Amino acid sequence: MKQLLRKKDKDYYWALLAILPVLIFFIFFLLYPQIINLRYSITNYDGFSKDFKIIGLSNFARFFKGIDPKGIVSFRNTLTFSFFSLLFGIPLQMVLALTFYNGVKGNAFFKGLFYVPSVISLVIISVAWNNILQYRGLLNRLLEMVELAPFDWLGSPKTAMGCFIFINAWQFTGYGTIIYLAGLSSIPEEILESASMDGAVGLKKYFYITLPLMMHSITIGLFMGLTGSLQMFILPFILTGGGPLNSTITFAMNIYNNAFIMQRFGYAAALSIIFTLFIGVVTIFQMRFTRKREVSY
Amino acid sequence: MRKMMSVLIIVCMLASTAVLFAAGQEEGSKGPVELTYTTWMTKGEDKPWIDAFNAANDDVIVKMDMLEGGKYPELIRTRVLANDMPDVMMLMGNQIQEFSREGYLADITDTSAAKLQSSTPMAADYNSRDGKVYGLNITGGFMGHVWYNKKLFSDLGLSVPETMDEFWAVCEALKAADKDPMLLGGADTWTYKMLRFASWTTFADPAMKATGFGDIGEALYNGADVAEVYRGHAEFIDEMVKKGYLIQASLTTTWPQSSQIFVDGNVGMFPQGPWMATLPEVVAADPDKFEMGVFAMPIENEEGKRYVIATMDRFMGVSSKSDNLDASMDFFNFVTSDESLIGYLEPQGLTTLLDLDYELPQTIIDFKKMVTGEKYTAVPYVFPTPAAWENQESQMPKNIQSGATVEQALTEIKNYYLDGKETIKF
Repeated sequence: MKQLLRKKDKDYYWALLAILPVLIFFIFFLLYPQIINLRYSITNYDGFSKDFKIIGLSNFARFFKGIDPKGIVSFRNTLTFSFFSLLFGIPLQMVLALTFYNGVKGNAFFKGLFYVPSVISLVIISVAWNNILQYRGLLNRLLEMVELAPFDWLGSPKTAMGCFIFINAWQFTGYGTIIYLAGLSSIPEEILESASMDGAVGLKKYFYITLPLMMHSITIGLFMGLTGSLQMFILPFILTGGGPLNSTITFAMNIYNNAFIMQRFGYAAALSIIFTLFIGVVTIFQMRFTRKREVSY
Repeated sequence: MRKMMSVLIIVCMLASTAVLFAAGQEEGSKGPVELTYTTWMTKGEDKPWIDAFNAANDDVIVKMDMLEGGKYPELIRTRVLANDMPDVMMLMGNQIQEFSREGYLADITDTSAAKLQSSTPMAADYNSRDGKVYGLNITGGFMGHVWYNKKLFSDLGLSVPETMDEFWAVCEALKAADKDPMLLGGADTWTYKMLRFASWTTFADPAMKATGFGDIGEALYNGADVAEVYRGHAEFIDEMVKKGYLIQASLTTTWPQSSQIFVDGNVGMFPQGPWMATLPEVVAADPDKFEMGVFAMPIENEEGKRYVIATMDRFMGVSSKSDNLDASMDFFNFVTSDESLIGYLEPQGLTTLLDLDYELPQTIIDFKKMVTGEKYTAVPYVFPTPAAWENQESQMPKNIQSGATVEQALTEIKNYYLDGKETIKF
């Protein structure tokens, strides 16, 4: 017994030693900055001056009381962007995953084609789409060639956010498709065959057999999509600066603007904490929801 | 065996972590001293300075970082926060105030640049704090240039408008001829500032007078009604947009794109800074399609007065946190010598408040003559307003062009100003 226990302790210490480098990285690059951030969030630090003082929870109150002119609108925009990105993105990714799973001519080529945008820097993507969507851009020139009137895609508050949702869905379609394809591929053929023999076909088979069995992939895909879309920053930062008429300013942009333009670093720190907690809560609920529906065989 | 492998892997991981830390702390390598110079002149306007200094100094290499102008203040600020401050910097006006207040700028009182600047009280005062000089103002003068295509005007039988009625008639004639009356590179929001400089002061005058302050920024800080200071300008923009004179493409065209579109010959008027006079695309323009002229907006107030803004634009400072302060000062002294400054200002056609003698392009001379005549009165705009205010000042006309009403745009800018006022420090 003593020997067994000693062996267990040894394993424990070896394991600790093995994760030590990552633990050091986590403490210095993730945990410590969060603690510093928490400290700044209760001060009126402007990001520059050494002269600042503790102001308690005033920064948090500034957001929740709606004093921040762009606080609520940026939060609403972020939720809108995230909701519609996932609403359009996930079904599209699933359809593509099913298509690739069932085999299509040029399978490998199309998989690569859809995946490539997700590995390109979002900065480059933004600049490229700016050249397409700006008033004198490629899209309007094509419209004029077919004698249609040009439209101000990025300059109109009605369409700017829609453009971002489209660009985001386009960029990450391949990424999500690969995740769902992996989920589909992990389902044993025998289960699908026996389901077919029992009369489950088409959509019924998909919703009652396939979907539950690939729910673990959906957990991952939804988690990645949710956290990524909620943190959207680069697209509006480069393409519209948060306009037109604040229609594309996101929460992450508002944090950046407050920290580096408005010189309200303390308030920006508070916003980042609020946002972190919000994303944490949302993803906990999401994972609970999807994990409950995961089926093992 | 397995344990030895585990130990080896762990040691390697720890060692690589330690190396990463050490790399960040590495101090001065052997060889020439490296300095970093930052600027927002992204067309390489400052490169001749760098090349000349590097050619004359074997033991110092200056590397230039060109940062986007619209985001320059926050990009520099993030570098300061990250302890990665450039050694020498081109700076904007409010940055001089901010950086010198927090001790980030080196004392340049005893330099020849400071002595040169001392003959211009406005510039000397602005760049001083507690009796010491921390920055050099390089460019300054009148703003509000409205550049126009002389060739296009001539083809359509148009002349420079001398009254607002004539201005509206010119806009209508250009539009009727299927030409774009006015374009901005509004994707870079700061370009809206150029139209504001061309039109704002006259409109703002009554609201400023109520405070007794002659500087717009100072008037705003000391209680001028924000909405009333901007109302005339907002209504002007609204009219320009509704009549289709300020074209919709302005919202999403970038500054570099807009200057090229202007010289390609389909745009009548282009409000921009004095640097337009010597831009490469202007110099290389097809003379059959484009010849550049300039005028000042003929906006008058009810008393028949016209105003023009006088301001300072580019400044330079040395970081007090530089690891190579002596070399940084050498570079600063090199580029701010009279000869070097003239070599910088003259090719770009830039005006300065410094007492330097050099040739200006004819268009700049023409504009200066227009606005120093009897018709115009200069209004200073040098009060150190925060970057956030300036950002919103340019955003306001953009909002109108995106569909906001005048009242909506004015309410937003007023709320923004009142909310941001507490962040102002001196």
